[in-house]
Amino acid sequence: MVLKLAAFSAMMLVTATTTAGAANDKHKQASAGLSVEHAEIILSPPGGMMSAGYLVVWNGTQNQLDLAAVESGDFGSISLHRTETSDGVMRMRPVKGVLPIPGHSELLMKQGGIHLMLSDPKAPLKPDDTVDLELRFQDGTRVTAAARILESGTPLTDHHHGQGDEAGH
Amino acid sequence: MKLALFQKLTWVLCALCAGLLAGLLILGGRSGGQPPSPVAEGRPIGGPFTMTAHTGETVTERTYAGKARMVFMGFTNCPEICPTTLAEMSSWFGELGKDGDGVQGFLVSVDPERDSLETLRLYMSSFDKRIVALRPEPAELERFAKAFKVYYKKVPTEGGDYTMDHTAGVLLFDRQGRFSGMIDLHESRQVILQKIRRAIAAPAATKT
Repeated sequence: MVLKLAAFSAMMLVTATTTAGAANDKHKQASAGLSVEHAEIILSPPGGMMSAGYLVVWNGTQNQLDLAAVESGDFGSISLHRTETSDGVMRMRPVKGVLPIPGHSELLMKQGGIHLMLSDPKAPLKPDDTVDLELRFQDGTRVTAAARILESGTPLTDHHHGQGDEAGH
Repeated sequence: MKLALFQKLTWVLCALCAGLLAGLLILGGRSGGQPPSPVAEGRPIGGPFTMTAHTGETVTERTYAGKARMVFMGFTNCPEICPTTLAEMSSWFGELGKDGDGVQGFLVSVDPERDSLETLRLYMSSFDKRIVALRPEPAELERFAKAFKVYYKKVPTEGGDYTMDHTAGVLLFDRQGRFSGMIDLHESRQVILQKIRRAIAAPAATKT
């Protein structure tokens, strides 16, 4: 029952997202069935050079989409990284090539997993600011998402596609 | 001539035996009546160190004598695990309140090349004051890593840049400086706090 309800509310949100996407002419094509949620950037503590960013990308289309890059005019550089911990050792590596997202699947970025590494901000950022990120896919599709800036050290809660923010914050 | 050599050898042997016996007595006396540390059979984890704290002063293991210790190996150019761990550690201190004064937190930089004292000073301003960042000289870091059985490695990335691989967990030591286990960030908060409280509750060494 609970599960059914969750699935239902998830579907409602998909519908809502699609409607919102359709309202935006510029991205009408690009965002049909493709949505970015919970875009968040956690500021580095002062003195640190790197901020970490997280997105949930839902590919509601039939086809696989390959995330090639994330860009923003607000940062000098954004790269995709993967953190792996094995044998008690933390290793961070750049993602090589693209990140494939099969049809009807989500790409869930999270702490200790796949994340964005953002450096060289063009202007000082503070919590609750928003910055625009543009996701570029291999087939030329582009989607923009407004990412919320969070204070350094904010623990991130797993948000799946369609889940509200209230649960995590 | 030959006899003189024999006599010399005998004396050397006697001295060696006496030394060995004294050593055994001292070691035996020291560990008497105390439970063996988890790694007593192997080489114990920990030992002396000399590094510069983010506050500018030179510190050694004796600076923190009588306190339990939490040691995290990290660096400031690390975008997610390091700030998350230090923010978590700050929240443990917050929850421990006054009891937390019995434990000292450490960020030992595995990247002294880029982590200047000024960078570390800025960086630490956003965490609990009971966490100190230590900057070792490269040779001291190498020695420290061996003694504390922690791992770090410089890994080149594109564009002449580099990142650091490093031990992910937090090493916990009791008030006598004995290794009491690792804290894994995936453990429940309750378990983590229990571990820290136990390390603080262990009686401090009677003599340093």
